Amino acid sequence: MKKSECDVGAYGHTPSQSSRITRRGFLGFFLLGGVISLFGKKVKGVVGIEDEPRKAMFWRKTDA
Amino acid sequence: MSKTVQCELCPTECVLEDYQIGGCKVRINKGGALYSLVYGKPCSVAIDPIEKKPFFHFLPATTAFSIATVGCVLGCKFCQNWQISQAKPEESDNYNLPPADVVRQAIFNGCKTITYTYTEPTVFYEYMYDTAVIARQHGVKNTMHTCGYINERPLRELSKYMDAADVDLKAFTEDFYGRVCGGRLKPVLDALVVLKDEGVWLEVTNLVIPTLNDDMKKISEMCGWIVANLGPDVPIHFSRFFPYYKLNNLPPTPMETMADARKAAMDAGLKFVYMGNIRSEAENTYCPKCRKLLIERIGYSVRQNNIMGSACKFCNTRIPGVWEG
Repeated sequence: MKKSECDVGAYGHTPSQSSRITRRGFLGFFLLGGVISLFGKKVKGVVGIEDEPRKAMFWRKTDA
Repeated sequence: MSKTVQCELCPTECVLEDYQIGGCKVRINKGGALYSLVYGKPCSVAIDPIEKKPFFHFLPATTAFSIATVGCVLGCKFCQNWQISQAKPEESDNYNLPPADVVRQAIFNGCKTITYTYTEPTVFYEYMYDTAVIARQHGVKNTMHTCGYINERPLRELSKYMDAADVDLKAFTEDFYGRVCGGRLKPVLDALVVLKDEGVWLEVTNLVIPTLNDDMKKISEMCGWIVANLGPDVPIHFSRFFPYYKLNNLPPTPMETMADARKAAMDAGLKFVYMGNIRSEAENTYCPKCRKLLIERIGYSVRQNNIMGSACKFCNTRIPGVWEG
């Protein structure tokens, strides 16, 4: 059945197509966020290794 | 087992206990091994005209990708960059720029040269060395502005990749180096000879400071030493002093003193004598044979260049320097 014009909301969609997230959608976003967060930590870890001081050239251990 | 180490990079040769930091402020003993605290962490990154370094006989009118970290092997009372040279690594805002990225940035910005400058590049030796090796592989030249306070072994190793060096010969007395800079003259003279011996293109800079190193007898002696040990072709830059840092009590160098220093150098036999921090014809390069104007400079900009290949356009005299690259 064709919907009447008064059923269309201000942003061009009907109230039934609103931005309310479903349980499945929420779970999907939650898991995706977790994966991205883990990946981000891994990248940060690599940078941390590069930040370690570089061993110097031209020095010696003293005997004392 | 002892965890004490001795740094062998500069003539100070600091002996460091565990977790002690060297006099340069950027090298630390950690558990019996010496580490650099500024590797890949420059506090200054800029693109400058090569004339600013100053190099007047090295690829004129090109740009130099210039980097520096904090720290210095000396403590000159007249330092123009004391805010970074006398700072600790944690006291400055540092970039994260590994050697390969320095070379990449230099190429991307059309710089023919990477210059290690502003502070004393000896203190970031490992960073400079690794960058220089990569730069050489990619056809980018390496230059440094240094005080020459470095031991022979590291300097010879570095010279394999260094195309040019501008050395600050701050005075010609041990007394000046001891009282004003906290160092010694002899190692600097030795470094100049090593650089010459290794075939690195050399230019010398001398800041003329009223009452401290403006004795014309000493300036003549210094120029005589340069002619005898480095040759008459080495360009020398006399820079005019302006009150700064711990020497605020002194006046700027009088123009007469600058002119006298220039005359003393020319009388000693040096062919290319320049004056810095002053706008004058003493910024120009003249042919030592026909005396015609070869390179006209105003500040850091080159107005005309009459050197063809490596010779004077007018009389074909060879002009010492690195003109193409």
